[in-house]
Amino acid sequence: MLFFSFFKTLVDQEVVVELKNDIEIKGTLKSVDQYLNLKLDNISTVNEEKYPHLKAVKTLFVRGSTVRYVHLSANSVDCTLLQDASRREAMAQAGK
Amino acid sequence: MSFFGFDPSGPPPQQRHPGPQESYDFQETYEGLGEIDDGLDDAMNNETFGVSSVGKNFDFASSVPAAAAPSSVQPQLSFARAAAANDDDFMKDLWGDSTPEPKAPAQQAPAAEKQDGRKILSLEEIEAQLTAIDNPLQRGMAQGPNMQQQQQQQQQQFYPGMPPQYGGYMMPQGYMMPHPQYGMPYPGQFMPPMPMGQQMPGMPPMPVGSMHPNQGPPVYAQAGAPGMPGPPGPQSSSAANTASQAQLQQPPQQQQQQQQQQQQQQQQQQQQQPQQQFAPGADVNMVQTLAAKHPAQDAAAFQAPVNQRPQSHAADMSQFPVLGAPQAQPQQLGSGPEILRSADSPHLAHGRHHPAMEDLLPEEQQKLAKRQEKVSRIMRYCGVMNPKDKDFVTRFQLSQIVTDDPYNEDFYAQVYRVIHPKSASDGSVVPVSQPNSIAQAYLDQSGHRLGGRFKRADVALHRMQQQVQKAVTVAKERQKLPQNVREGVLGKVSVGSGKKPRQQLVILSKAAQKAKEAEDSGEVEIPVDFKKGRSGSIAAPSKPIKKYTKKDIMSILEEIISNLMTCESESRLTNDVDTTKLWESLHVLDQKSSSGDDELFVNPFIQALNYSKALKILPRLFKFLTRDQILTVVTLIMANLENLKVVKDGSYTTYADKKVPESITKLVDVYTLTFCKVLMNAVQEFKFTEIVGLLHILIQHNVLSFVSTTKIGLSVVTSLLSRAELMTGEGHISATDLSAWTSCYDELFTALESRIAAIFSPNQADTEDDYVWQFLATLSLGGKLSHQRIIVDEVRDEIFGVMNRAKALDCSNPANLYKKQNMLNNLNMYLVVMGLVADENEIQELKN
Repeated sequence: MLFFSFFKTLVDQEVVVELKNDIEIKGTLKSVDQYLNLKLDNISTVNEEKYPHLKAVKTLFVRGSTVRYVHLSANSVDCTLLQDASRREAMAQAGK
Repeated sequence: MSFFGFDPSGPPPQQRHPGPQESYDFQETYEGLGEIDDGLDDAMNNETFGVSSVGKNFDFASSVPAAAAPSSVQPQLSFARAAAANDDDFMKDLWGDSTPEPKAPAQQAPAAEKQDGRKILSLEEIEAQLTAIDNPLQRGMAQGPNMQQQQQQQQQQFYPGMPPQYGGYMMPQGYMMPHPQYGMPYPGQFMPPMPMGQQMPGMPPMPVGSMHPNQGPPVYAQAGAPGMPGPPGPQSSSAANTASQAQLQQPPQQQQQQQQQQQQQQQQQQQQQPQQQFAPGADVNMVQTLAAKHPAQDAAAFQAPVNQRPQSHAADMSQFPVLGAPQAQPQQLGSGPEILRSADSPHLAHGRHHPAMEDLLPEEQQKLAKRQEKVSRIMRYCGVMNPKDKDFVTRFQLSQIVTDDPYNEDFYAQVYRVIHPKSASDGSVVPVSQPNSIAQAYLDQSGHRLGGRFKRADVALHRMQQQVQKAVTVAKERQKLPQNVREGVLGKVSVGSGKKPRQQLVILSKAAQKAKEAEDSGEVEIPVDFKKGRSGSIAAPSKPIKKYTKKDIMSILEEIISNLMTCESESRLTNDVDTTKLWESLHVLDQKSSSGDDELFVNPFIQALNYSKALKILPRLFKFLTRDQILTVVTLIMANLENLKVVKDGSYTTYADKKVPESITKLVDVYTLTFCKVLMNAVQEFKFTEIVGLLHILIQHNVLSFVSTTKIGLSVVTSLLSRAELMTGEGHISATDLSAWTSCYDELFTALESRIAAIFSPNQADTEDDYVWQFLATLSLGGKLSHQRIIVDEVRDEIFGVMNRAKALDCSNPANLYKKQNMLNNLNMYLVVMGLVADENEIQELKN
């Protein structure tokens, strides 16, 4: 639940999603679910403009398994809190 | 079946092969599927249709009235008729392998339905193609309005009859007008409850009674076919029939077009020109009825479109092979809409309530048509799911993400919201309970209005909350059930869930590994080397002093942090928290050490304080410690002050260039933010004697003059001193304590004497040595005049240096001005204690 929890705090922020097919999509993260599927609003492709098939698209739903990276700005993350949350996850994992 | 105007008493079946103008012989073509009615699926069939047994004598050809021979059979179609018309052979000819699928007899043989669906699909597709062909040939639309109205009436008559069967689901979103949809609600409604035992070739199988979201399009595809029963209602004109037929054929896809083609060829022979007159209007109707998503299916109606343009038969027929070929495969929703789109030409008036097309200006027509097209495109998929489906999906989704212990499972998000509250749009902070917030958020996002478009929002919210609560309880129960890994005969099978995803790697912690190995090897060997972070061991004095590696310290630190987090989550639940484990993990009592001990033998807690990780948790940690425990910790720190890296390496004197390296300065900053604050708070609680005691320890165990050259060391001393002075100032100190204090002060002073000037770091900017002046101030405050005189003597150079530098600063620059002020303020902090004040030029006596 860590990443789901984490992405919930990123809603309404600009992120760049890099997919496994090398397309990078910049957009506003609108929602996320437990599979880390993402809904992006107001998107624009960062690199693959030579594949213009997303030119007319404003909103996307991205299946979580196709995402390679999500680039975010550093100040949207509370690092100490994230550390603690990870520790919690590790504890929970070890406990199970 | 009076509301259909259908007279089930058809003509007796004919034996001879039907001629060109005669109707089909039902008996010959009846496949007998109508008999398959186990009566279980459609409890209300009789109610609906008013006839318990419909018989087999149907004449489908009559639905398309031939001008020459108005057939004796009523042209109206009814569900019952369509339902009963499940003659296999006939159906095969007519529809291919699909059979007409009426709404009511949805409970009939699933096989029949599936077949109907496919046939109808194909026919409708053909119909769409026909309309596409006909679009450029737009003839007078005079018939349009009439037909539209008739159709509307019939359809409206039809609909009221339907709801009782379908759980009250009337129309999508209360939209009463026939609407450009693919008959989705109805098929969607009745499809799931019906077990579809038979699978249409190429069509996805339908799970029994499951409303799987994935089923949407496939359900649609199949349901579209069944949803295409002929138009209902008494139809006095063939036009209505043709219209309904048109709509029948348009939405779904088809499988067997060849059969349709055969069918059409057969039917062509029968059709006459009277339908021709309706052809132009039929275009309109087709579009409309297509939009209307009319679930009625009429075999005869199916024929109609083909017959509408007898003269273009050849042309139409020629289309079919082309049509059929690329679309022989099972298709999803996509092809349907495409067909619809092609049929939906702009110039077709879409609304039924329009005046005749000629009345409008051409541009208005176009605009209207365009708008109609847009609306239809949007509305095409409206009502694909009925509210029950949506509720199910919502509940399912919520059950996956809802937790009953948000602080432990959803830790990051919860705490983040507390720490960084979202700036509320209205500025008010409303604490919402967890289920409410989820419900509210979901509603806001989805715009989902349970219970109708116009119901109040709080009804929906309430219902959503109920759902969430239900989901929570279900989730709780479900959690206990399956494990993530199941042992099968052939090995382990791991199943992932939302909260515990399937693991790609299985990594055991060292402890778990060792335990496993021990288990495997069957022996338990207690390692002699205790170096790995032993927890909770209180070193007895006889135990040898241990050496701690960095790894040890880190693991100790991690343990402290995990214990701390456990304490914190426990404190959320109950007020009483057991902190013994936490205290023991600090290892404060573990090993005595004092400044100057060999680095690795220093007390582990002190060693841990070298890492910023530890400093960051200090405030939280101290919250859980008792006053005595805090005192113990502070005592330990006092004794080991020089062992702290921030002190040991924090003095400029240790460096050749008299500059403290950046890493240390960073650590110093962290200390200032955390440690000093914590110490200040702790010191507030200490008694006077304790503070004096601490000072003593500090002096004894450390080289004060060295410590004083470090920022942190100096701050520590300052804190203690200031607190002591405050307490003496309050006047509650006994004489003995006071004398103890004075002797302590003297000790301190002696240790510092003649080295006071050294506390000024040579490379430090003037704005940064405020702590020095503060220390000096505190020192002077605690001392007598003689002390102060000595201090002034030693720092005289510095005092005048600051004044000169302030004077030399160019005042034009506001930044410089600020800097000058700062410097003077710092200086005066000290001078004021002695009753003096300085400006850039001179020192004067402080006048009040």
